Amino acid sequence: MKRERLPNRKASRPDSSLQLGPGEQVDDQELVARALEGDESAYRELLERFRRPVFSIIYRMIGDREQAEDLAQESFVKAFNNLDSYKPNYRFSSWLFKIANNHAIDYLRRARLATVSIHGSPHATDAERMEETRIVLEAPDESPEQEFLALELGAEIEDAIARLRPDYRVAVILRHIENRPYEEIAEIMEVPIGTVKTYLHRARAALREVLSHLREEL
Amino acid sequence: MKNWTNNGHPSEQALEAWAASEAEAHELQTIGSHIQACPACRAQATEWRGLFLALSSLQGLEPSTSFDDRVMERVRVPTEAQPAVSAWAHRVALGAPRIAAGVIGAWTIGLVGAAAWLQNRMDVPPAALLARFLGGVEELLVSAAIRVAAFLHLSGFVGLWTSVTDTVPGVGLAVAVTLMAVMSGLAIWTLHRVIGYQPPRVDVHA
Repeated sequence: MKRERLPNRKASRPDSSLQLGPGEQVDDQELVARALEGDESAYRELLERFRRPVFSIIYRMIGDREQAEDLAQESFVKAFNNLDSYKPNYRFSSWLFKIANNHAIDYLRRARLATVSIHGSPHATDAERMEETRIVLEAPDESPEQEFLALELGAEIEDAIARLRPDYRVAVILRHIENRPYEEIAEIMEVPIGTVKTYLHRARAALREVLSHLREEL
Repeated sequence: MKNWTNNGHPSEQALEAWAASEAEAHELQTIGSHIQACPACRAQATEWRGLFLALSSLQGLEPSTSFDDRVMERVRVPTEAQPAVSAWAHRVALGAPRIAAGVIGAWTIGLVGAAAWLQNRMDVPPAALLARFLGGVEELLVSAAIRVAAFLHLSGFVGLWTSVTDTVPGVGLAVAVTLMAVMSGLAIWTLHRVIGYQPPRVDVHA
């Protein structure tokens, strides 16, 4: 049985300025310039910085690991092969996340999926395939009771996020999992900041309902 | 956002903002004080805090280990012997604000210095000097516009560029640039002969 192991730590936001060596700092813009000059290590450094958030956003958007890997790859290939069209006065992360988000939204539109399930791929044809493609949560280093509560809560909240409208879902993922500021979320989603705030308020209200229901059960 | 209801309690959005620490410091403090004293609001705020705690515990997900290699197999990396022209454009764009700031700074310092020197040497009132300067700039701009328009018209710039680059792409670019250099020289010489244009002179004693 294939299971995804998640570390019990808050995933860090990719740095816009990574320490490469003593006294040497390279920001995203400089890496893009190096990549355009043919430096393959710059492409790999950009992959290292953004692989996790891009995959994470797409996976949570569509709920299917294999498809998410394919779409994340497509996003990087499209971005890297069109680096010359990237305008350096915008954040590189916004540009890349916008490409990834558009890929995920296009996929949902094609597959006609408004919501997804954390319990496995919507295209799974049998129980084994369902098990292989589901998001598995893990909470090590806690007492059995704490572990159970954390897993229960994590699963409930993941499930609730997966059931949100796609635009609410992407706003929640970008804000609360990728820790992006409102301005950048607005850039990525191509909507005004006020709309982002509305999406987040409605999404949070729906998620709060789910949590209160869980609290009553426990 | 309306922070307080008519009953004197924080609104739902205010409690949400408080729990997310997304309000101004003084608002957070005021709402926090109210929550301490009001059990109903405290219950709601606790629910919001629970939600944000749960959201903050969610983790990033990693793709498979071969992900990077599979991406790089499909990326067209420019060869180092022939770096993309866009790389230079990108670097220039990155440095453009600093270059522009430097040029503007140097220009301003030079201008102010020259004006101060002129005023000191010739005892000209600053207002008259500024008026003369602005008049000169305007005259220069007008004459430059006339020259550019005449050059474009006389040299057949657009038509020449399109026809040459369309018919002989690549080599055509070099041919077009050479021809345009010759044509622009001819156009400027013609303008000088026909119009007899001379740069304006500033008479500081006028």
